[in-house]
Amino acid sequence: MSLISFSEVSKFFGDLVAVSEVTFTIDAGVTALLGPNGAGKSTILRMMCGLTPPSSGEVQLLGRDPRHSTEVMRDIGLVPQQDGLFEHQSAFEFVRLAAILHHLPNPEAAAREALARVELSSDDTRPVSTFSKGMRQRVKIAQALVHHPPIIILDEPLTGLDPRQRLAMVHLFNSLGQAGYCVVVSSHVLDEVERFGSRILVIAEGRLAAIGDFHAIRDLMDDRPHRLRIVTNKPRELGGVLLGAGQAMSVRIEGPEELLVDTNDIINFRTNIARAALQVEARVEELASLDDNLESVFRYLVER
Amino acid sequence: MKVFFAIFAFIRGVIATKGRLIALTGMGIAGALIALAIGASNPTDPIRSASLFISGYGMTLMVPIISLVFATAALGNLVEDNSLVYLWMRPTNRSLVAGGATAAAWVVAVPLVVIPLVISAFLAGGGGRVALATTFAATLGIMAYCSLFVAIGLRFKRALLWGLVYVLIWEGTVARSATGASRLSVQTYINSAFSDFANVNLVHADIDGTVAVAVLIMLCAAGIGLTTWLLNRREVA
Repeated sequence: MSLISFSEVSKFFGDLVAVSEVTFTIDAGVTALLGPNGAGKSTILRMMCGLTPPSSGEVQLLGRDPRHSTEVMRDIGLVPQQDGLFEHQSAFEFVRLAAILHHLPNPEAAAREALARVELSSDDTRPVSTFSKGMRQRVKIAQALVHHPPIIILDEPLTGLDPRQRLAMVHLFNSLGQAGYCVVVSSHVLDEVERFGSRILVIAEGRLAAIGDFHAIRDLMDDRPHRLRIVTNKPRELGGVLLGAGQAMSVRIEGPEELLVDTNDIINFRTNIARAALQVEARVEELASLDDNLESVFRYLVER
Repeated sequence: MKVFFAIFAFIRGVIATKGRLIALTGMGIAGALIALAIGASNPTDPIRSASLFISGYGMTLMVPIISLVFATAALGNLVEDNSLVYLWMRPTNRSLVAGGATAAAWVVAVPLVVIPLVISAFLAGGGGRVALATTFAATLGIMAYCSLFVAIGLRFKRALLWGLVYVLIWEGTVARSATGASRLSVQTYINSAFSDFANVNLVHADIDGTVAVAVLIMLCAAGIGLTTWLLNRREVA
């Protein structure tokens, strides 16, 4: 039995289809939910935690319906995306309350341990309303870890953290994954997900666009057709060489110093462009991908 | 019980803000000053005058308004700032959350209402019987109102406004003009209980005291049940 399973799950908000017939299973280890903003990642995570019911299909955590079982909450730690905390409480009080609500035998000790794990002091008596965004994010993570749940769900957990804290958190998530926890992390930043080095579910427009190992997804993204703009003093000559060498599927002269190139092997193209320019003694002043943002990548994966 | 008291203490901290406490204490002080003026005017029937004031100002305004302010904030504030998730995502029976939040609203509202009203009852010349009736009826009223308003705070975005509409328009106007409508007014039961305990005849208080108390207790249970049901059904941000 998988720890998390989604079977033909859809979610509608009126006429809007937020999630469409998504099916997947997740087991122990780190799994990243990757997709652009508004793709449906948070809705999937909210259904995973039972915070919102699916319009159709079945969601199960450890074989139970999270929407109708409060007991399953023992097995979930959630770091929600929204910023709201119990503002008048200190970090220690906030995490201790979580520990009490999880019926832990020694909530004070559990809270101290969870706060130490995210490098926060349990002696800090300031209310969380005075904390920086990064500190608040770490408080959220501490309350999710306080009861050592087997399933940890984090919605954009690295938002607001500085590079050092990001690194520490990525390390924490990876170590939890290696220790046998099921860690589900959502992100819209490809490079962020790369650091988890994990299994990925790519979500785009509410659909599951791709699923698999990070490297396989990355290759898939790199293999798609790319359009590039090259600013050069010899666009006609350079275009001819690129076509002749099979580096470009098509070229178009856009102006006296601009060339548009379509290629379906971006890695090779980037390797060989300098050689081609040298061959016709062209000066390349700019090389820019016109569709290298995540949205276009996701669109490609959906339309593929 | 540890979980219940943790929720209770937390919600009490959420609702008992300095601003609210100061503003609503002012309502009690204003009442006491009016009562002092009534007492100083040497009314012919001081018990009746005091009862009319306690009923008209205390039970009709202070009890519902102060209950409304605290009770709608109990879970409503958490819905507003999207932090309800930190209570919801726990292996805790949701009736404990509903009960803890309601009890917190009771505990904060009761002293703010009952203490100045009892003082007012004495200042207006009502004596011990009116003061006792005030304590009993106001406490029951606060419990009933808070139980219902916690649910309203959880369900509606502008709960304070909807609550005011109910208190001022429905209870203050519609329910006073028709006997049928008055049965759907918490006010009627509070005033009936007060009238019965104080042994003073009041208008809009025509229900038997025992029945009124039973209805108010049932409203408490119904409010907590409704809040539990809403917590189980609601979509949490």
